[in-house]
Amino acid sequence: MTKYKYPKLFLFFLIAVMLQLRVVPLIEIENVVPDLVIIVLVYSVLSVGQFYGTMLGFTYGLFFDLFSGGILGTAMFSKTVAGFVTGYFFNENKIDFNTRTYVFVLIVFIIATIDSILYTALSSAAPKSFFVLVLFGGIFPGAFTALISFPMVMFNNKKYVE
Amino acid sequence: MLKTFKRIILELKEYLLLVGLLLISLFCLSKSDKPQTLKLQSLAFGNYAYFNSLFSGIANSFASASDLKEMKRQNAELMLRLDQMRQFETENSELRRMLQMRDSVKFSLQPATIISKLVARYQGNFIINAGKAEKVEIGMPVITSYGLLGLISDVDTNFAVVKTIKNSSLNIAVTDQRSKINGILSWDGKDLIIKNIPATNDVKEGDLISTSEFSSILPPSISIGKIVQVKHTLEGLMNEIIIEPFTDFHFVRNVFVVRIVFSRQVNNLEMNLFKNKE
Repeated sequence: MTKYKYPKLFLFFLIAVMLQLRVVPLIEIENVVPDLVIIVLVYSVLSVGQFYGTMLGFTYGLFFDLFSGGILGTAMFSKTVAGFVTGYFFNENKIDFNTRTYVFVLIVFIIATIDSILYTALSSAAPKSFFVLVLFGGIFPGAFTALISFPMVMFNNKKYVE
Repeated sequence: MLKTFKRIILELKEYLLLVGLLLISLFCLSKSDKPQTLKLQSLAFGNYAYFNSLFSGIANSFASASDLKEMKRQNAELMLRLDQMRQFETENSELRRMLQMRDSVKFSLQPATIISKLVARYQGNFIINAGKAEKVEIGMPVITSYGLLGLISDVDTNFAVVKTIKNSSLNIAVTDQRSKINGILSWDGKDLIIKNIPATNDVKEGDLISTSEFSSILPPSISIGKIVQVKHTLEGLMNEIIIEPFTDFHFVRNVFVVRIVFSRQVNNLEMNLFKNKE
């Protein structure tokens, strides 16, 4: 992983974007969709730390905005903040613990919620209320994203326990 | 002094980086509708869409045959004609005679397939595999065999971005086909909604909603959906009307670009009038 760490992380990101824009819309529930890019971002930041994680968040956001045809700057902003906040969970001695146990799901939930609130707030003309923004624009997508990250942890968790 | 400065920068490097990157993001956000930014975006999504379409080709190797595509095209054409017919039905005989001329107008449809969907609460964008090479232009309406899907917002050589009606930045002038009440349709993140319709206006659940003749961006009489709820606001003077779109955004895959830039036609017309005045 160490030698080709960044190319690998970028490859994961590209796969996540493709799935996000092709497969994820099929599992949409009331316009709430999980964010696979955030799962990859959290995983990346927990492996590389806050400084590089913030830059990764910015890069992921930039390319996501460019590839998706969305408003340029929205994902850039939200994913930069997401990368930065995830950095607070980084611990060089606990990389395996953070990425292979259910702690990862919890981190994904927190970060996906923050990211989704910022993304929704920036891309919306006028959110009805702060409560609606936090609940429907943040917590629901965050929970959905965390749910999707479960299988990843279940698979990695076995390896970690072994 | 220099050492202290260096030490402070090193200690605060994460925060300085964060502030710097956020400022760049906000700068991009403020310039997102500038031509240079749109050009960059077109280039990037065009390249991405090309790679994406390669995978799409593999995935669709067992997909529908050409005759099925032809049937879908016919279906879409019939849908457009049916919408016109519905309008004629409600006009008086004199207007109907006049409108028969419009009935003879043929729409040029460009079939396309959706290769990517950005589903977010307030930003509905699809990417389709038809672009400048197929004479697709910004502002052209995109329909399915059921009704309106959205509007072309960005075009590359072989691909285009469709801003769907489930995008909060797209507001469309619409009309109730039965009572001819006009309103502005928008997406509030949950529902397609027509706001500020006076409570005394004649709108009923089940009424069909189509694009209005007053629309400056879309041709009239393209079906959008039907009224599923008439909400009375607290003040009691205005109603909010909830629309259920005919197009299933979840499973939609094959679409048609109507090769007409309505806004340009209107602009040309306005310019002609202006010229006549001169």
